[in-house]
Amino acid sequence: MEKKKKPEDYLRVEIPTDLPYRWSTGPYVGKFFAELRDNGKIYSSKCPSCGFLFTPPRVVCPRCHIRLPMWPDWQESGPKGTILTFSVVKAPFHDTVTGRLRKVPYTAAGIKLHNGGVLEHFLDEKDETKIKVGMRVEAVLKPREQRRGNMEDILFFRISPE
Amino acid sequence: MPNRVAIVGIGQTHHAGHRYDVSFEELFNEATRAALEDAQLTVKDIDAAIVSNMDPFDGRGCVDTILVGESGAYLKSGVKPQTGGTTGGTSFSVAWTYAASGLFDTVLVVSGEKQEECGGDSQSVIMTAVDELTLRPFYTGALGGLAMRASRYIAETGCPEEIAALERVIMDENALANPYAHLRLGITVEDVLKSPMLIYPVRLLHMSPQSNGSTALVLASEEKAKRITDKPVWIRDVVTVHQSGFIRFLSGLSPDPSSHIVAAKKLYERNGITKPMEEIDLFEMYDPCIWEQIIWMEDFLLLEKGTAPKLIEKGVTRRDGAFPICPSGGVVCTNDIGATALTRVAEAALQTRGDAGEHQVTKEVNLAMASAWGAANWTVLSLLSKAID
Repeated sequence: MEKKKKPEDYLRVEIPTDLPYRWSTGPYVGKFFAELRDNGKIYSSKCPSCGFLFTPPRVVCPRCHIRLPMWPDWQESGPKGTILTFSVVKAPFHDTVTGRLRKVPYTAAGIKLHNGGVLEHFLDEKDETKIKVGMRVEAVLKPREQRRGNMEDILFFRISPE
Repeated sequence: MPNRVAIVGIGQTHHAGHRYDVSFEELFNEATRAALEDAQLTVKDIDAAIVSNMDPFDGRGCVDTILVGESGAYLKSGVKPQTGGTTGGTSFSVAWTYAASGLFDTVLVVSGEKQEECGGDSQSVIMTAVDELTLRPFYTGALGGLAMRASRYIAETGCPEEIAALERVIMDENALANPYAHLRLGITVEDVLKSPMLIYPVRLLHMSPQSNGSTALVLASEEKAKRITDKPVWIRDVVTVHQSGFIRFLSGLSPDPSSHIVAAKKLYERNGITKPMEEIDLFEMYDPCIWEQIIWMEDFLLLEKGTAPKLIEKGVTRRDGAFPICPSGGVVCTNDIGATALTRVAEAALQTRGDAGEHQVTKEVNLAMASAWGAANWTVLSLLSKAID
């Protein structure tokens, strides 16, 4: 009987592939990023038909399939909000933004912005026993000169003192 | 009205952590041959072939061209669906539509994945499935979304971790009886409770593995099916529903019902089902994480939020229970992405035929349901039956 083979007994070919992409923001998300960078403001758009709030603003409401208003008909949201749900990441994962392993632990949370929609972002608290659904949080932005016009201009959300 | 269509051939490879012994194409060929052999047909008897996987997991674009020969699609009609975890379910729905249209008498559907060929990990591929500008920097693959949904469910219902651990052990007992399952561990509730935390509240043993394998089915029109086999499994209905990713994968936070609830309501309405847990005999659910199996029991079976844990405690979901869920061991034991959802249909069909072997459920199966989940909360829900009206 043939001896059971080990993984290294098989011939496998490795081909590393570098695939850089460059994405267009479109006018809506582009304006959202510009306002975040230049004025430190977080904007949301409201569907005139169903009232659903989108943060960042988007072009079409998927529920009603109508075109949503463009800035300046947006409403300012946050920086305060509430934790709707959270997860504390402990196992390292490849970050497809950087191609490297992401530093753990970190907390990703679903946050309902005051006067806005639902945003997913980092929470600076990494101990799950200190985080509760319903806690009030506040966005912490990078200083003006470090902001680049992307989601990471918001550094993280911080749990507000009681 | 669609023409009547039956499953007449069922084949799958062993689903495993590694299949270094075969190439991607050979893996698909194994399942194709098994399904044709089960139907006692050759590839010459097949009119159309639906072949599928999720390209990025295998690192190949246009897999349709690569797989044509080995999967039996050479010079035949067909398309190649690619819809995340739903892939195998979408492929089944396409194959059913092909056959039910009357345009094709026999349709082969073969789905698979060789996840070990991805140099990173599955989550890094899944991270490319969300909006790159607004979500990707904070996203942690499907696992992150599943963890957030579980976290919300725990906050809303107070479901204890012991329930998730118990259901995971039940799935392991099922997998131990299924020689084709990937993870067959012999674990205890204590083992699950102590397994490493990947993303709070999801532990390693809560989560589905990265598997390699392939599953195939042969579908046939009524006239052909009756000639091919004495035990056709009839496809009663297939429903597909898409939900936008605009609520950031967090279906628990949406003001709208989840795609699972919408699909279930549509399926029950179209088939005159008023009490799903009494009228349907078993459910092969696409359960990527044991927490989701609990949450989605309530979605699919239209139960009140927070009631699934009690059913699990009572043993309802066991192979000898009143409403067995995933007697195969489910996705938490076996997850070769492209194949996973088709395997749910294959397992539901084996149970309906009475050919599941050691993991055959105790009760008689006349009506079985199988689900698929993937991408931004997409659902495919299939209903199979032993008898034809």
